[in-house]
Amino acid sequence: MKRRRRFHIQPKHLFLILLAICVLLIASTSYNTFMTHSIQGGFSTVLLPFQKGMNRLGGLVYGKIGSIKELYGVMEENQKLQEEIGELRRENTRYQLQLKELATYKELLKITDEYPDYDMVGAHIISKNSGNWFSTFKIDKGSRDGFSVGMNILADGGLAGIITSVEAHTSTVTSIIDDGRSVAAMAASSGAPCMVTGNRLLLQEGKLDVTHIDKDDDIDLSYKIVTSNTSSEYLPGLLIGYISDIDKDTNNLTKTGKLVPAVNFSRLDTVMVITTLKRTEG
Amino acid sequence: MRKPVFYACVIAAAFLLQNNLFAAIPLIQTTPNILLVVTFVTAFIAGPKDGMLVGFFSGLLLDAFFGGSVGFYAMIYMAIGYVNGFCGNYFYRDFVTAPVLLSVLSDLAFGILVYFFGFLLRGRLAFMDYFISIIIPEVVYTALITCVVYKPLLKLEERALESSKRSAKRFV
Repeated sequence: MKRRRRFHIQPKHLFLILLAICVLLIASTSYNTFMTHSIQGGFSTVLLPFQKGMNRLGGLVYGKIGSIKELYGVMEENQKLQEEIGELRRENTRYQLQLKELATYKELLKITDEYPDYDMVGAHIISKNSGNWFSTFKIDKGSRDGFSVGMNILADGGLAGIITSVEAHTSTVTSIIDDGRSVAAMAASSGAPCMVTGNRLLLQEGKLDVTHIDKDDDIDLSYKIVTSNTSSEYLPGLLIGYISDIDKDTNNLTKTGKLVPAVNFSRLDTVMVITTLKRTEG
Repeated sequence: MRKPVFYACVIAAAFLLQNNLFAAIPLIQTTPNILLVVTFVTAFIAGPKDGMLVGFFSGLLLDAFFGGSVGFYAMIYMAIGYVNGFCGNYFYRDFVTAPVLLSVLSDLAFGILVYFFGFLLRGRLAFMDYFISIIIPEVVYTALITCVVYKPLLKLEERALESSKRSAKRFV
């Protein structure tokens, strides 16, 4: 006969055992990345199809909520718009001319924003780290698609993050807004170096820290900040964002500021992965 | 239904809900900590041992997916499951008040632990700012989710526990 109570373990002993396992895991994974990757790879492969389904569901729910909200808004606005139509018709002709002008400008912008030297592959975001503390997410392509650790991620034409671990069919991306993650950067116009660092508290305002600016360097409000040539992980010349605040430090030697990233991180859906890696040696 | 299978299903469902459904809806800025709800409800109903194990595996799943070092979340969730396991003896299970209170306390503890190990040790000292802008919203959302989820989860878990007890009896 099979006995159900083969062994009985006290809760506090189990607690100590699990605690020991945790400590061991933390210790071993912070020294040995191979183990981390094998554990992560196993879990990812199993859960991938479910996640894709859930994402679609999430999008659907959001779409429904969005459309109901929109309906109310539209009904209210309809009345106002009826009155405005007459006025708008007159202005329409004028705007059409301006629109044509805008199209030309956009065409010009596109050329400067492109990065022609780099090979890029698109990928979908399948899961975001729900914890409210760190900013990482998963994309639906991995080492089988030729991805590897250290590849840069673009979205909306700006730098979004970097691949920090790769499994067979997925990869984990740490975004540049992750607390404590730094990018060596420079001002696009003057070449003055600085350091862009993620800060969880500033993220509420949608901004990042900019530090290590020499007090005489030419960096000021609304300057365009791009990745620097000296960065060990990021390819040079990728757009990060624009300076929004700048102040002299109390030590009177350096300046610090804030930066508004070019990427809208709350609405990320698809990203471009640059398969060209930054070469630091050879 | 056997207990481990049931727990595995609940954890997987909570994980997917938390990291895919809620994270994919951009209207919600703060995501509730559903894995934490599952952990402490299990602990509350089934005792410290089950709570601890469910917490451990929930945390491990999170670690395996997103963590820098595996074991960080596992440790925190496990500790919360363990402590909550003892509370089941002292409170009524049929009212939602005690679980909501516990969820608030657990999520506060969770936030403070993550802040301590993940932020304070890196020299981020503005605790009050983190407390107000990150921990409090998460606590509120998690408490709300607890109100909604507690009763159905209680029913489910009780049924699962009963059936596993019954199948255990059959073998004796």
